[in-house]
Amino acid sequence: MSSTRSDRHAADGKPFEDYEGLAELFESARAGDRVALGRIAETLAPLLWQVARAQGLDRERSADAVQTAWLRLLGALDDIRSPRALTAWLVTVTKRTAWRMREEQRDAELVGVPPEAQPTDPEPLPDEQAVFTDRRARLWAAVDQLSHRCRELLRVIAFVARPEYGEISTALGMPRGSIGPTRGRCLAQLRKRLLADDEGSWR
Amino acid sequence: MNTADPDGPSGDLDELDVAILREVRWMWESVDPAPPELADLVKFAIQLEDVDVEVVRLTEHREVAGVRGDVRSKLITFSGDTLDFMVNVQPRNDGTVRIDGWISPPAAHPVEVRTGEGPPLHTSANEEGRFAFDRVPCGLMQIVIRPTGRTSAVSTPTMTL
Repeated sequence: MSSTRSDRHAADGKPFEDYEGLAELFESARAGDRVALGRIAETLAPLLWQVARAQGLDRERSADAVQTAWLRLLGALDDIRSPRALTAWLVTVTKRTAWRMREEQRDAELVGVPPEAQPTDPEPLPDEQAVFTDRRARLWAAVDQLSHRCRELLRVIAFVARPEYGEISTALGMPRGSIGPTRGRCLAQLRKRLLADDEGSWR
Repeated sequence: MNTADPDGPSGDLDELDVAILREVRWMWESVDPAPPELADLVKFAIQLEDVDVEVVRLTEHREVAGVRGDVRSKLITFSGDTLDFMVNVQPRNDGTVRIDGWISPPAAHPVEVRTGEGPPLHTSANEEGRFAFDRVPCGLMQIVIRPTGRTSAVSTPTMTL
C-alpha cells in the first residue's frame, strides 16, 4: 500500500465497517435521536452521492435527491429493523428519487433541443481525466467499456462494505448474484479487461 | 459459464477484486466527489420535527437582475404532489434576505422558514397563497409549509442562500 494514497484519502477512509458503532447509532436514531441520525448521514453521504450521480443527475439536484431520501426516512424509520436495512432503504429511495428528477430534467431539456444535443452519462471532462496516473487512466478506460448497469453497480458497490454487496446490489434493482458472495458478471468483466492489459500490473 | 475459470463471474471475491473495487472508489472520489457540505445539508434537514414529510422538487432556479445592477434576486420554483410554490429571494445589505412566496393552489397555509441561526420563523399565507418573510438570515435555509387539514408537512431540501 502506498502511503500517499491513504494520506490523500484520509478524510474519506474506506467503506464503513464499524458495525457496532453503527448499530448503537441506529438504535438511538430509532428512539428519536436526530443527532445520532445525523452521524449516520455523515457516514452514508459519499455512498448516496454516487447512487444519485450514477442516475445522470446534475450536482445540485443530486444533493437534493440525497436530502429527499433522508427526509422521507423520518416517516419510515419505525419500519426499518437494522442498520443494513437502513442503508439498503436509503440506496433504493435515493436511486428512485434521482431517476425521477432526471426524467423531469430530461423532459424540460427536450423542449426545442435536438435529441443528439442531449447529455447522456456524466462522463468526466478531458482535463479531469488528465489528473489520473497512467494506471488509473487505464482503469477508467476499462470501466468506461462496461455496460451502463455494470458501471453503476461497481461505482456504488465500491462505496459499500463487503458483507453488504448483495443487499445493496438488490437495492439498486440488480438481479440476485450480481455481486457477492461471488464476483459476478460485472466485476469479472472489469477484472478480465484489467488483467488483459499487460502494462497495467494488476497481477 | 465456465465454473473452472478462476477469473470468472462464479469465482469467490478475492484480494484482487477488493483491490480493483478500492481503485474504482478512489477513481470516483477523484472525478466526482460528494460536496463537502452534503452531510451538513442532510443533518440540517433532518432536524425537522415533522415525521411525515413530502419533499418538493426544485423545478426552476433563475437569477433576476434587480433595480440596482449589483442586487440580484433569485426566483426558485418548487413542485410537489400536494402543492407547488415559488419564492423570490431578495438579498439585503445586512446579511439577511427578504422572501416573497406564492403557493399554488392558493390557500392560507402556515409557512415556516428554518435557518442556521436562531429559532424558525413563522408566518401564514393569505387567501391568495402569498406569504413573505421580511428578514431571514443568510446561510442554510429550509421552507416548510403545513397545509391546513393535513398531517403531513411539505418541505424543500436545505438550500444555501
